[in-house]
Amino acid sequence: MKKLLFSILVLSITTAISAQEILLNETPDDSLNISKNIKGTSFGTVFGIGVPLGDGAGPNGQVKTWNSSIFNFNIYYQNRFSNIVGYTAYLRYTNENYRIDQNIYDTEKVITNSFGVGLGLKLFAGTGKHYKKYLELGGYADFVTGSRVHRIDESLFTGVLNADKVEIIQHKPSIVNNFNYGPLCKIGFKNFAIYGRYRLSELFSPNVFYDEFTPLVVGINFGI
Amino acid sequence: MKNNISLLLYTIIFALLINFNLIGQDFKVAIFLNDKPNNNFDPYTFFDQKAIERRVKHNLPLFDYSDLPVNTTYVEEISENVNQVKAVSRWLNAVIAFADENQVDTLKALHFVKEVEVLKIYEKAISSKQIEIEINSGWEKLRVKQINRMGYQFFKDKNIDGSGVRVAVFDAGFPYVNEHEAFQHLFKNNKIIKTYDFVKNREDVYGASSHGAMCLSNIAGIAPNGPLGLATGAEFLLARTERGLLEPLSEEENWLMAAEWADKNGADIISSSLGYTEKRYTTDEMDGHTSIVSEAARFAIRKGILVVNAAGNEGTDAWKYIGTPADVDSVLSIGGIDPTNDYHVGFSSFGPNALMQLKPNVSAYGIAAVASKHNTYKTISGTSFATPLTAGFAACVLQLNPGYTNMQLFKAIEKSGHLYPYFDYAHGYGIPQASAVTNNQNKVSPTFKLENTGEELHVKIENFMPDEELENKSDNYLYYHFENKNKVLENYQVLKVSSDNPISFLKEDLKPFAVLRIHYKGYTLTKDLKAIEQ
Repeated sequence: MKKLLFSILVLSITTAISAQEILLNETPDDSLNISKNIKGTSFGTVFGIGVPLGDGAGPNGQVKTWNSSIFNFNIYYQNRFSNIVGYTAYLRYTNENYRIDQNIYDTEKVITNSFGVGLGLKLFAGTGKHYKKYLELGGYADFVTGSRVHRIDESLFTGVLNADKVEIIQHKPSIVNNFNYGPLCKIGFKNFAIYGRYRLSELFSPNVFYDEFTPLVVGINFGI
Repeated sequence: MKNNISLLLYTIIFALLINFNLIGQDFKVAIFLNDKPNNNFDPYTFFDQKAIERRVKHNLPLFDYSDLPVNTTYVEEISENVNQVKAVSRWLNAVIAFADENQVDTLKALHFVKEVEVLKIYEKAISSKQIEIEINSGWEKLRVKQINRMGYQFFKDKNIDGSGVRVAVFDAGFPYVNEHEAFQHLFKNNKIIKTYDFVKNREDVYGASSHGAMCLSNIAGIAPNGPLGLATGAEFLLARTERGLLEPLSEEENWLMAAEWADKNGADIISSSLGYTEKRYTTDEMDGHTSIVSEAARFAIRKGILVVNAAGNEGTDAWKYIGTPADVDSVLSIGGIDPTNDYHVGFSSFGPNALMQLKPNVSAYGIAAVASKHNTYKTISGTSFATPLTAGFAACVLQLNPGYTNMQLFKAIEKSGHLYPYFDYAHGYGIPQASAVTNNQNKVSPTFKLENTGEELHVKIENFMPDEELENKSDNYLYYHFENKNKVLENYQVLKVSSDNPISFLKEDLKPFAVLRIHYKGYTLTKDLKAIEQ
């Protein structure tokens, strides 16, 4: 509105001063808008460490929260198109390591590796040096490129193998779905953010021994 | 636990792969301390006599808490727990150091440590860039013009050359200052009081970038046919604070260290042709309170020093605005004027600052004649060179009015601007005029009037003369701006006048504004638009 007003004003003045040469004509507000966007786009990397939180869908879907870990690495492109609003697009790599809470083996874990994309709407709070406070709401979609199940126990193949403990690694089991997706939320301050994500898709294929693990993951993001 | 260790290893491997250059470095940390115990402080031995005199003049105590040196035991203990101590600041009661993550944890546990702040490490540090237009012919003509435009003859008639005033120059190096003929009088008369290279931590500053040597020449250099600046009799403290190449943040710490050093050694004025903008900050952060260097500048001002700083050369870049520390409200920020047409030179950064305070405050020629290497002279451009011209002017005004405090000096320079009381965000109050700093200023008669004719306001020039009849064509510039009720300019223009009725305003268009201010040939008319009958 202000720009429109100035355009009209400058036009009317220009009519009145057609015989004069305008050497300098500055409207500071216009320039401020341009310069505020100087930080509009950026690239960077973000690392995340998280844990699965909550109960699974059944007795065979319980995981040990603090022995499990979700690691992800993101390359992002951010466009902050106003002082308070922007978006971030991510290319993600995720490694999920679920330690299953069970009494059969000493250790049983399901590990997946996936690559995917993410997109988030970012709302920035504050100005000046605190401009990196933000709330980000978005989602992710991951394609699982590899998965394996580890089972470690001394009782495995008792009497067959001469070993105290035996670890069986089952590579690329067909039990895991290839595609995961869900919403993602971050609350950021400077180079750190607390994030939470909720898997809407099912982790396991139908008719698999495991019940669905908790879909909620919380953790910390840090940018370098 | 094994999983968590694996996770950590993953993280480190990825970080090394992607950002190995950053991960490999230590953190740069500012370690703020709780107190300054056991300081047997004697201001008379610590400070130069001129620093004592400055404090007395400004009604400041001979020392306060911020003047006490940082406790040496604390510094020693910190140095044992970091990889390198980079700087020690008595003003901030802080040590800036390089340390790894474990050392940071150790530092936090020290009983005398208040806070450890990890400083950002920037990929690039950009100082106020220098745009070089080297015109080796014609520098002599420009030399005469650049000092005369500010009233050299007025000062000369009164034997004013900055004598007795101590100016600290912060820059990227001063090569050939100790060899060039333009500076020999400074050595002959022992006017170089002290030097220090805060980049290399040594006293020799006569190397590195020639930017500082050129700037110094615009305060005190003397060419064969006359001076390059106005304060040829001033005393100098020369500090190298900037490496001149890309490096992480340290120039700002060096600026802080140099400001403390200048305070201790009795500087009256700091002339700094340095500034920091994009890659480090956003324009929102140009508020005079965000950057380390703005904090340092505000401390220096509180100690009674006038800080004169370049506005910056981003006027035609996307950034467009002033840098820091020119963003500090009480720093005298200097814009650039094109000597060929006597108004804003395109590259000179615009104001206001992020708090909408007036910046730049005044302007000087942004294309200037300077002393160059091998005993030569040349023409160069940048607000870097307008700054020392103004610092020299400030030194002369202070010699003329030795009782002025730094803020009285600041105001006097603003009031001496050739546009004053008119101002805008390109020129500030214009070019300081020596004749205007005396108390017996002549009142300027109106050079135009504003006629109210129903729906319009007409500007009518009195005794209009076309360019052809004028010796100085820049006399025919008409400046005007619209100010809102918050005293912030909404729009400003400069017109080249070619008739006796150069402009008319429709009253309807003026409704959004509170004040219309017009300047022509030294006369400024301020019109309260709310008082105009519609």
